[in-house]
Amino acid sequence: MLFKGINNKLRPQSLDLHQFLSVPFYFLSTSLTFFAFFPNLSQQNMIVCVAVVGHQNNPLYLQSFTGSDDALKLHHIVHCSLDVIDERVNNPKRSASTLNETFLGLLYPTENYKVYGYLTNTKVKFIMVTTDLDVKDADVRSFFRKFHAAYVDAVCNPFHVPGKKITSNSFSERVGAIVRSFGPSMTL
Amino acid sequence: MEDYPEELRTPPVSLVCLTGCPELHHPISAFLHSEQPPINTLALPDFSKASVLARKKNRDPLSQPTPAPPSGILKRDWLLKHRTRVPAVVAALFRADQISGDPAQWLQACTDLENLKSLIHGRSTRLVVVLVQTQAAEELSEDVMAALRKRAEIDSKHLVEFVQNDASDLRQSLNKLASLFAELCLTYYKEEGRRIRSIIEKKSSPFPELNIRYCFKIAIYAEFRRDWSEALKFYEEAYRVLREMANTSTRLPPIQRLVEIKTIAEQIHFKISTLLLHGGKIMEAVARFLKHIKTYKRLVGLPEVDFLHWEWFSRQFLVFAELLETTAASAPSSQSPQFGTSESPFSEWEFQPAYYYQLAANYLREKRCCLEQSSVSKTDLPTKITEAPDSVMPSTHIGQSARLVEEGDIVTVLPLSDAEYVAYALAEAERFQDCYEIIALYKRAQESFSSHGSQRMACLCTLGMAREYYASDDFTNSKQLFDTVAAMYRREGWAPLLWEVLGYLRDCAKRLGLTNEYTAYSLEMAALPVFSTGFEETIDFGPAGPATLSRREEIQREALNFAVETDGDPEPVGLDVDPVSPLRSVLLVAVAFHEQSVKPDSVASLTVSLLSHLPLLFKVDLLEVEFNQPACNFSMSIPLEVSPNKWLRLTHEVKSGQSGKLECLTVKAKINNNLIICCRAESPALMEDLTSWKYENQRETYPTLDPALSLSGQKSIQVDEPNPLVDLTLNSIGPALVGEVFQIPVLVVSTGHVIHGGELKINLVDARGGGMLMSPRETDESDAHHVELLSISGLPEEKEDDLNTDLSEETKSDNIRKIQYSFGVVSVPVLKEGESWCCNLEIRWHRPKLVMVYVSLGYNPGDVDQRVNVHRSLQIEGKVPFFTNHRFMMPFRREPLLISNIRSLISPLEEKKVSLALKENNIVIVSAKNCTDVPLNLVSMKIVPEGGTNSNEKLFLVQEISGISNKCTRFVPGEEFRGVFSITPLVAKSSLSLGVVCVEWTRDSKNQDQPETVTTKHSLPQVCVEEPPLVAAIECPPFAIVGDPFSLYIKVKNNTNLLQEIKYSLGDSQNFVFCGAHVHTASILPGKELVLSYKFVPFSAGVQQLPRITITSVRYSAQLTPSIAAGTIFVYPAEPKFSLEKNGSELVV
Repeated sequence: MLFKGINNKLRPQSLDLHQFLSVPFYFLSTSLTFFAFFPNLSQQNMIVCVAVVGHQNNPLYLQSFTGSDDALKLHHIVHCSLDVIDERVNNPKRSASTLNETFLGLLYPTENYKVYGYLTNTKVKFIMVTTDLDVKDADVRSFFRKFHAAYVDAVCNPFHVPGKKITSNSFSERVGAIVRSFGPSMTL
Repeated sequence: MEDYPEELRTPPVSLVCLTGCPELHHPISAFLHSEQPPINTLALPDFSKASVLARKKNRDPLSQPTPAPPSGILKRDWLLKHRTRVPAVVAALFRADQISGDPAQWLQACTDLENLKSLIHGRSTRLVVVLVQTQAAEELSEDVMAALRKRAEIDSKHLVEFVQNDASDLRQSLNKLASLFAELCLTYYKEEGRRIRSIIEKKSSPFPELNIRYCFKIAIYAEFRRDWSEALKFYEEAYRVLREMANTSTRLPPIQRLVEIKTIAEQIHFKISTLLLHGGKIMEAVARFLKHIKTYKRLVGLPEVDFLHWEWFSRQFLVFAELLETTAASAPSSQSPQFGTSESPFSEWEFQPAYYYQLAANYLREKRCCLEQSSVSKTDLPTKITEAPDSVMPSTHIGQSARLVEEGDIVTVLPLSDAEYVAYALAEAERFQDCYEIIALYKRAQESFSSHGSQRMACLCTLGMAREYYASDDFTNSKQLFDTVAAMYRREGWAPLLWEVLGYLRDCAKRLGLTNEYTAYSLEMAALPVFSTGFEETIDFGPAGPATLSRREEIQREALNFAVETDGDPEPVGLDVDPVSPLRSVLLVAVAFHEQSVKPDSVASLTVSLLSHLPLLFKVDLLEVEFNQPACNFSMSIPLEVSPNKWLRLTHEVKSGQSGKLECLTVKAKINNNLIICCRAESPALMEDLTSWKYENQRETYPTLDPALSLSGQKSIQVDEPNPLVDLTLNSIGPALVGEVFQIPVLVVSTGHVIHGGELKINLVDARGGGMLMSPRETDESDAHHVELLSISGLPEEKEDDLNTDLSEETKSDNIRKIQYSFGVVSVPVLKEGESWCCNLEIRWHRPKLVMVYVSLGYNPGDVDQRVNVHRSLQIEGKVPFFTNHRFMMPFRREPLLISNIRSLISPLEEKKVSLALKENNIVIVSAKNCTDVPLNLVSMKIVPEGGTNSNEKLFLVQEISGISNKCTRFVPGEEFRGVFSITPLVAKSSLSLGVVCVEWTRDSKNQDQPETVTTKHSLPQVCVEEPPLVAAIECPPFAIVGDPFSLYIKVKNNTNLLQEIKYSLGDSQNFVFCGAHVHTASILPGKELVLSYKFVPFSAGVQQLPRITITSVRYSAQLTPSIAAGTIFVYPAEPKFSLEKNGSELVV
């Protein structure tokens, strides 16, 4: 992995690397958004796309495994579903029980895909597109939880600059594993 | 939806037939139509027209012994027939005189009735006979009625009398008729429905077509009687059977069979959706629609006609969107506050028509796509059937087509083969231009999404439109739309999406011949942060090509060499890059001066930094840097190599001889001699990130070597003024006093510069901040200014004329002199080196205030064309010269009884106002204390009544008892002066203004011959003047001698018209003996004076206290006790000797 430029103002000069890694939440004060897409290459692999989206609604992570025909279409789907997230987040008509809810639910159905959203406490958005039209909410929630954990680990990397795109290969691999394991077995 | 026949789109309305008495048809029809629910009428003017009701021979297919398969599912005209030609009720109208009069007429009526009966025979249509009576008297006999009823074979309640003599009767008859019709219609449609239901239940039909048809009919009949739930139930049933039939039916050739099924499904589904939506069940309607879509999506049919499927499919979305839009009032935002959860599986957009419009557009594109393929493959078909048959028309059944063949006069309708049908459908489809339809759909969706705030979805629809325009070679519209889309993607940094759009834009610009735009789009594409990650190679990005680094490089080469190819055109391509331009990622220029300010004519260093995100290195042949001072512009013609993603830093020095701001404006880079990029220079400190690159995980670099300069560097520098060679002096003599005209001398001496066009600006500012020298509330009044610049005096004009005769004309012409309350400008004449000029600022303080006086001199120092400014300031405090006070008193040993004083004792909360006695001498003592640090001369002190001394009506008299003896009384600081005045009010008044005390004074200065007199005013309060009812006075000699008797009188005057009772008492004293009553009571007559006389003999010498005297007024409960001073007398031990001067004047001991 390349040394990414870390702003000198942010780098604590007196800490050595071990000390630095012991404060992994250093970067959590800033926030990013992820989206990820995963392909429908096999029957088990229902997720075609996962993405992380940042504060300015800019894509921060975008990995496409799907067939080339749909890749651009999935970009459009993810981008458009930000409209629904905006609407849900800005809609004050939410009951008290949902105030701290991170899972945003089904964002919008296309005929071939279902799009789900997730909003972290730092206002980073995760969007997931699946081809499984009968997917259960519980599975999706479970997926997002794992994905969130992977994301937190990725941004805790001291070489990651908050607000920038996530280019970590290990993050990609971990996301790939989560996506492959998606399905009813996740909740067992 | 507009393509559907009227009878399908609107709910069915019951039909009633009227015949006979044509003059009544209009009022009855109008009345029935306005009923709720309305009833339509089929009006036949006379009985001969009744043959339209005749029934065609049409037997129930199931009742035949060997049922023949039906040739279709639904007949095209069945619904229309029931809405316009088959009435539920037939009403025969007869006039009463027709029945009761002539036997021939009676016979005619009977014949008509028979005819009618035969026409409706076999149907459950009801017959009603209406007897029209023009007058109530025309009552028909029971016999006639019975005969008529028998003839018509109807119940007695179906024989109605219609009376129309007046409005109320008419209305009543109409009501009666309408309710009868409504009831009979209901019965009719119920029976019809039941009849068909029984057919289904009795015999299970081998033909599902018939089942569908019957279900449809039952549902329609249910709709006729507004039984929506039953209608819905049977529509659903029909829909279900139809879907099952799709896999089993073999009646028609497969393509046409599918077309028919889909057409019927569409109509049934339309009915279901309409019923659900109008019933407010929007959730069910959406769910139903989604199911419908899911059911039929895969029923594409044979590949050569798949375009028919997608056209049909698109229409489903369009119709549903239109239905949703027309019933949009009941959008379910309140029903389900949160979408997308397991409780509410729908999302927001599924209730918006825009979503369906957009999908309709998508499927219409699909249809066009399939159509193009089919058209291409058409050539593969055998030639004999590629020709579409000439006269294809819709057949009698819905969803079927047939061919008309004319052989001579005989026209026969023949079924079509599938091949013929395909050819026909292709020919039909090619006649239409789908792209306009698609654009219209996207447009509707886009407008709707925008109005709901879904900008990105609207953007996607715009993209759809733009692609359509592009596909139809309308590049102008297309480019315009792509531009709006690109703006959205740029803002949010969606590089792959932007890449695609820019590819289209680039192609549009190329085809429209817009060289500049083409280059701009190309360079922007080349500088986009897209990298190969493996999949981009295969994604179809349209004309943009794959989003890879190699493609970017290719585009860059194309763009930079593009201009070379058009070598015939000498004009190089010019691109402007401003701070909001997307081309900043192509070339970003940061300019930072190393210092914040610089002396004139000295060298300032600056760094010009260039950054490019283009993938390939390029050479800048010429770099021109332009400033706001053109003299500082410079250019570099050494070829500079700009590497990708790396700052190229150039340091240069500039020298400016002109003071003020020196700002770098633009930097022009000439590339390949044919492209000029003109960048607006940006300050590193204020530079914004590049929208497309700021999220890229790249090493952060700085435009300057020194990172601190990158954070603070500015593209402008302040060039200082040359040092002034002029002395400006501001003097002041101590504090200013409020009221006086205070003078501040200003002296200008040139010590090196020749002053040309000098201008002296004076500004007064409140030293305690706020800047306001006036009270905020009274800004309009002229005297509201606390401190005022009056004038500038002492200008040595005559000297100027003498000394500078050659320049006097000039100085006079531009002699600026402008004075405002706190601001003044005065011009300064031309001063050569060593010369001086002075003036005095005259300022008056109205209130005590601390003020800063700012004086600035601006001038041109001779030859150099720039202004030099000198500033001076002085803080001056305005002080009050006197502390003035006043006190009211009564004359010695004289006390008028003032009622208000007694009242104020009783209720002390009331506002206390000084009371003066009418026509008595009231004493006021005014004291003035010098509270300054300088001695002052007091010139005069007087009381000036309000409105001046010349007022017509004298309200009171003022007499000065003691005041200033000399012309000028000198006061040292801290000294106090008292003036005594007597005021005699002449009018009783509850509120009398005594005017102001005017104190005139001058500064005690010796160097001024005629010191200016200043008046300081002190206003006296409002007083209350009242007539005292009693006035008590004590008369006593000024001194006494031991053992020598003297008289003391107590005089009490009664000023009222009442008898006043007085109690008085004298205490004992060991120093005096006296004769007279100790305690007594006396009565005073109105207007009279009571004199109490006492004789006193003092015993001891010195200052002695007289016995205590008390006078009490019974009426007013007021008691007077003289003060200690009034009750004191000096007693000499012996008679004093007075020595007399020679000139006879007397000395008082």
